[in-house]
Amino acid sequence: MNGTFRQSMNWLHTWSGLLVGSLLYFMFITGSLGYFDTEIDRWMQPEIVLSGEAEASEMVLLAEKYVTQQVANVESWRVALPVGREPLLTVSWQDTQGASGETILNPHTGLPVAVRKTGGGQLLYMMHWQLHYLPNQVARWLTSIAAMFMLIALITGIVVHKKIFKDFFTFRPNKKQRSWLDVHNIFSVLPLPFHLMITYSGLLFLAGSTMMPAIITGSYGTDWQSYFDERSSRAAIVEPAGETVAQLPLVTVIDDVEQRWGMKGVTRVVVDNSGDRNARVSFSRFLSDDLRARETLSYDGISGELLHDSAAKKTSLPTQTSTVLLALHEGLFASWPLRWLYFLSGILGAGMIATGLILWAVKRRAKAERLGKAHRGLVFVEGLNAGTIIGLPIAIAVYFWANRLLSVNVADRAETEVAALFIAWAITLIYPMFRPVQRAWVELLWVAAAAYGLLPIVNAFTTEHHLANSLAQGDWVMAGFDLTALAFGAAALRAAFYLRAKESRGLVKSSGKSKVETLVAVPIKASAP
Amino acid sequence: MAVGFTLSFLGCVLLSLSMKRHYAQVNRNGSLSKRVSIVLRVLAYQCLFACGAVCIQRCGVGIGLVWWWGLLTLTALLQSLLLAYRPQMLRFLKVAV
Repeated sequence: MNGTFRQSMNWLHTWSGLLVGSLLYFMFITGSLGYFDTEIDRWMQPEIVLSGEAEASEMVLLAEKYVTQQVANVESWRVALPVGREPLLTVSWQDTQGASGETILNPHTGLPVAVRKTGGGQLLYMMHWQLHYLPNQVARWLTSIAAMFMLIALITGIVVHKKIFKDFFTFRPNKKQRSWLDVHNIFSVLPLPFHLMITYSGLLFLAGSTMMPAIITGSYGTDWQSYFDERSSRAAIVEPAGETVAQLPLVTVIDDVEQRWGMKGVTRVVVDNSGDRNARVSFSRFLSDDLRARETLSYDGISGELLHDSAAKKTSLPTQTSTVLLALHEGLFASWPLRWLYFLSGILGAGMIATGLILWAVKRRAKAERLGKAHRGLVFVEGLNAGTIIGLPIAIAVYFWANRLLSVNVADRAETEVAALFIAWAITLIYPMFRPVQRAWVELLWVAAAAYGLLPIVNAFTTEHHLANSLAQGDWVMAGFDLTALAFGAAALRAAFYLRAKESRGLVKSSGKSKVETLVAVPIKASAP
Repeated sequence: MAVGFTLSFLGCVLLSLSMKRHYAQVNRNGSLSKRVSIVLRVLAYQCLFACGAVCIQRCGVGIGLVWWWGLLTLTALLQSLLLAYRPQMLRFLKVAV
C-alpha cells in the first residue's frame, strides 16, 4: 500500500467499493424505486377505482367518523389525503393496546375499500435502509457503514480520477476494460452532485439512530426531551395525561385551518392522545414550491388553541442545513419531470457501483488469463456480480409477478410477496456459481428480459388495467409502470444479444489475444501484489 | 423547462466541441485551434449558466438548483452517447465552427 498519495487513495477506492458494493447496489436500486413509491403502490393494488376529487374537509370528517365508529380505544390516528401524487384517502390508527390498523376509504362515501394485501412500493422503498429481514438497529448500522464507505469511495474516486473534467463526455465503446472505465467515470461524474448529496444526507438520516444517541447524551445528558423539542418542526409530543376529556370535534379545527391556509392542499391530519386531556391535532399541507414540501399547524385537541406553526418557528442554521439535505434526499417536492431526473440519477448511481464491481473483476480476469489460472476470490466476485447486478432486478420483477399471481386470500400475503423476492434473489445469486460466468450473464439477462417484458402481459391477464386500457383512459401511473417494465425488458434483451454476439466473437479470437492489458493507462492501477 | 433543457444541451455540445478529442470526432480531420477552443468554451459556460439562471428564476433557488444539476446530468449523458454512437449527427456544426 506504500507509494504515492494517489496510489493509496486508489487502493482505498478499490477495496472499500468491493467490500460493500453489493449492499450499496441494493440500496441504490430500491431507493431509486422509492421515488415512485406511491405509483408502485397504486399498481400493486389494482382493485382501486379512482373516483374523482372530493372536498378536503369532507374527507377529513369522513375519516373522523370512520375512526370514532369503527375503532375501539383509539389512541392516535392519521389521515392521508389525496394530494399531489397521492391518489388515495387513507386512514391509519393505533389503539391503547398498541395494535395498529390501516384502511383505504372511498373519498365520497367514507366506506372502506377492499384491496389485496401488499407491501407495495412503500415496502420496497423502506428496504433501502431496513433491509427487511434484519432487526432494525442492525440494518441501520449496516446501511450507515455502507453509506460511510460510499462517501469514502466517492471522495477517493474524485482524487484518483485525474482528468475528471477532460473525460467528462468520453465513452469509447468496444475497448474492453477501457470502455468499462469510461462508463464508470460517466456514471460517477455526471451525476456527482446527486451522488454526494444522496450519500451524505443518507448518512445524516441513519446517524440519527446509530451515532446520535451518544452525541445527544454528550450534550443533553439524560434530558432527551429538550433535544427533540429543539429539533422537531412539530409541536413537542406530549404523553397522555390519563384523564378522559371529550375531544373537540375536528370541524372546529378545520375552520381555523380554513382561515389560515384554505383546506385545499392539506395532505395529512394527525390526532395524538385522542380523547385525552393532552390531545394534539396537527394539519400539514403540501407545498410544491418549497424544498421541505410541507408546513404544519399543531393544535390543542381539547381547547382548539393553535400551539405551533412550523412556518413561524425559528430554526438554527444546523437544523436548517439538515432539513434541507433530508428534503433533497427524499425529493418530496419534485414534480413529474424532476422526479424522473431523480430516478435517472439514482439508477446511474446503481450503474456506477455495478461498473465499479465489474471493473474490479475484468481487471483481475485479464491478469488471470495471462497467468493461466483464476483466483478463487475472483471467481466468487464474478459470480456475485452477475447474481447481484442482474439478479436483483429479476428478484424485484418476481415481487411484482407475485403481486399479480398470488391468490388474494393467501395468508400473510404481503409477506409472501417479499419472500418471493428474496427467494428469487437467492436463486440468482447461487446460479452463476455453477455456470461459466459469461454464460451466467447472458442467461440471467434472458430471464430479466422475460421477467420485465412479460409483466405487462401478466398484468393484462389478471387485472382490468392492461396497457391499451390505461393509455385510453389517460391513466399515466398504470401505463407508466407497464411502459417502464417494457423498457427495462427491452434493455435486458438488447444486452443479452450484445453479450452473446461478443461471446461468440471472443471464442473465435481468443487464441490470438494475450495482451489485453496494454490498455491500462489510467489512474486506477491495481496496487495489489 | 424546455428552455432550460435546450440551453443545457447546447452548452454540453459546445463544451465537448471545445475539447480536442471530441472536436476531432465531429470534424473528421479538423484540428482545433486554441482560439476557437476558448471561444467555444466561453459560449458553452454562458449557456450552462444561463440554464441555471432560468431554473432559479422559474423555481426559486432551492428547487431551481436541483433542476439545474438534474438537467446538466441528463444533457451531458445525452451528449456522451451522441459522441460515442452518432457523432455524424453533430457534423452540421462543422460549418458553424
